[in-house]
Amino acid sequence: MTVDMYKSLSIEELQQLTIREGVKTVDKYSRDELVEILEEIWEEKIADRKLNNDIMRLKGKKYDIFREDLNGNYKENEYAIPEHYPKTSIQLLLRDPYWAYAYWDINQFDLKTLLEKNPEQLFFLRVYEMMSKTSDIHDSLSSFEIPVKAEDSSWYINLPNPGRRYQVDLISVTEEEEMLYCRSHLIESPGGYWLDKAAELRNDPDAFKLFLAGVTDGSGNIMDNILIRKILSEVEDLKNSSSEV
Amino acid sequence: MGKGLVGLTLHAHLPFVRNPANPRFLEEDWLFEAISETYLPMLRMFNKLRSEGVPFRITISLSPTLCSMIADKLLQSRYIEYAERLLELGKKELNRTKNQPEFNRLAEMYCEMHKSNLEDFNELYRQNILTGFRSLEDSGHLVLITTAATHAFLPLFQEYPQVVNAQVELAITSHISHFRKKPKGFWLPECGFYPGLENILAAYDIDYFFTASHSLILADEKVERGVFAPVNCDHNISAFARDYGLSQAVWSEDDGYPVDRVYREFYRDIGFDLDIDYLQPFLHEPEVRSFTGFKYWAITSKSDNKAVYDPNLAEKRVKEHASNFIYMIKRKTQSLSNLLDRPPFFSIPFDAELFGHWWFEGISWFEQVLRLMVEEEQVVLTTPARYLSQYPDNQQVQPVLSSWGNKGYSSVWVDGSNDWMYRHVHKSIDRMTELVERFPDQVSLKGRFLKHAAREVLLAMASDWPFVISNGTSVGYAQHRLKEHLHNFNLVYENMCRNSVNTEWLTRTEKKTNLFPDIDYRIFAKE
Repeated sequence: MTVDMYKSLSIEELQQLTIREGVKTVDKYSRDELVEILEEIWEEKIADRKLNNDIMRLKGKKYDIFREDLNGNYKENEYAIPEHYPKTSIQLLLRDPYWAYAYWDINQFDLKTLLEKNPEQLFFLRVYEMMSKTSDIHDSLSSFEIPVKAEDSSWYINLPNPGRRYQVDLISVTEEEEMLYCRSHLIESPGGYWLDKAAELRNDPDAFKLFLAGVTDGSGNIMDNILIRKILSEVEDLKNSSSEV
Repeated sequence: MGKGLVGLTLHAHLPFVRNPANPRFLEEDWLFEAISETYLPMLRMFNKLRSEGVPFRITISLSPTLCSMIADKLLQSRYIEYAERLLELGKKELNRTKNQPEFNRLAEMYCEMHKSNLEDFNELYRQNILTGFRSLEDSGHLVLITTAATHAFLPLFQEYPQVVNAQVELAITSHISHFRKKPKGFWLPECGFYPGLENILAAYDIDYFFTASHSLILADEKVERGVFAPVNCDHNISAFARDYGLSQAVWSEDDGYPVDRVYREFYRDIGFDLDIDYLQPFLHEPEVRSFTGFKYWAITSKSDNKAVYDPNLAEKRVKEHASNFIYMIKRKTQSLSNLLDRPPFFSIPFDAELFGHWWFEGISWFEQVLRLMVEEEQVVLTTPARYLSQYPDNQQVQPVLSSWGNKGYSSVWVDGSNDWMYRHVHKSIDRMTELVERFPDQVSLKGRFLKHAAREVLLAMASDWPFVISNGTSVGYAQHRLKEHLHNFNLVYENMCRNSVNTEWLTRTEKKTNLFPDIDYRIFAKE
């Protein structure tokens, strides 16, 4: 959809769209002003989409056959789904090498009982970082805690290091005791051979060329991947430091 | 100069959008547009090359949901109505533009396209265009492969191997039912790979699959040939990594071929430009403006000031871009010549719907590329299957987690807009597995009930819903669909827990969601 499509709409349609975008009083605006407001909102949406890579942006065009804002006829609560589930559990999903998404359910009866006893009950996500899959959390490299509220049920966790394994406990803490509610499965953040071998890559011109050929487009742009950029930046730093010497 | 081997792969997929209750359903236009603008013109192009004796062989992945819709009688008849409506609109356009030759010529071009589409659809393919793909596979021009049953983004389900198994098994069964052959290749939805997935694919005799470039570049082992040769995983299954650089020439929305100024502008469409009364018979109720495919303007620039589209000028540019693509392959081959012990293999995959639909001239570009490859000695068109028979010995490497999505991992499918869904989808998988354990041998009505529950879970897993929500297009529909599948599953679950079956609901829902009619619900069993 292009912005100029708004210009083809009647004032009633424009008013309807503007209300849907959260603008409460639309009567005071002229047709041109409404178009301007909608254009601004649209530009913001486009800016958000631009954050995606080329494949995702072009893939979006497959579904781009009508104006979404004119098609908001789906009733939000037509199909009810539960907010929570009775079984206490926590799941961990890896989003990228540095971020994981955790969501959890605590049995509502257990939670209620706990909060009745102590309304100020503290909850934590304890994140364990491990070197290998066979490691136990008892020999984890490190751990850290994230305080969460009783009403929270999900959290994005910043993972300190790529190429490591992580596991999360949901715990409650009182002055007397610490209680483990549930433990997630183990996830593995990708790392890669070159991640801590920038010097080797720097000193092997053929391997470096092969690496670059796999991550560069025809205009010399580097693939948008945090680990690849990290490796290349370290190689660059090594080059710079050796030229300084 | 050495040779460069090229594997072109097209991935065709749409989510299951069949809605029999609504005589004209907006989202079914996703399918009809793809048939009119991509699949039929693409088949015409392949058939033309075949009839001229131009040798070519490319790999096409057709998703099970897409195949199911293409083969569906109701959607076939609705497609005919859709194409006839557009032909009618074309006649109106010919009349409206009769005093504007530059527009009239374009209206005529679109009318010809719709006429050919209807003719091919009805007469050549007898309303099932899958026969067209099958025929091209039989003649050795296409290699048809499959993808996950409902196009689930598999890395987010790795803790549920039973459902990943189900996605693979059903995909293969569906492929065999449509093409009478077992597929040897597998397209991972969104190139989404996680370590261990190769074992599941290998268990179903899949020989190769496709991944993102960094699945090899960032592997824990040093990859000897970079992304320019496949690697062997355990169980003798091979991974082909996408060539990022060559793919970008087409994929880039900033400086890729499709955004050349002389090419047709996708967004300027009479569906939005003309008076609503004029368009009325072709619009969805109530007056939902949508694309009609009648587009008269060239990209020209980023401003609204557009030049009229000139197909001759565009065709000239297509040839230049096809030559440039071949040149880039040759240049890259040369740059790699001293680094590899064998010719590089460039795996270049695209979404099929990119061609013809968004990039109107894309099919013509594809045709030119295939023609030029015949003339060029240094560029050899091949397929992963042929490559593996020529070079069976490849380095043993474990690919790593990756996708071709933004930033290369899962951030498109898990973000602030769509992360809520995993709590529910994962729970439905758990509960479906529980149902299988509790009711392992149900037939008749309860068996049907459980089969339908399995369908709903699989549909809730589709990568399309989180993608559409994250992308901000058709958000209402994607949320609605996801909740509908989850709600339907929960309804079965609760009924089964009470030992009851809602027969009327079941019959109605089965008619609506007629996907995978022979599904065995026990595919959700834990190993």
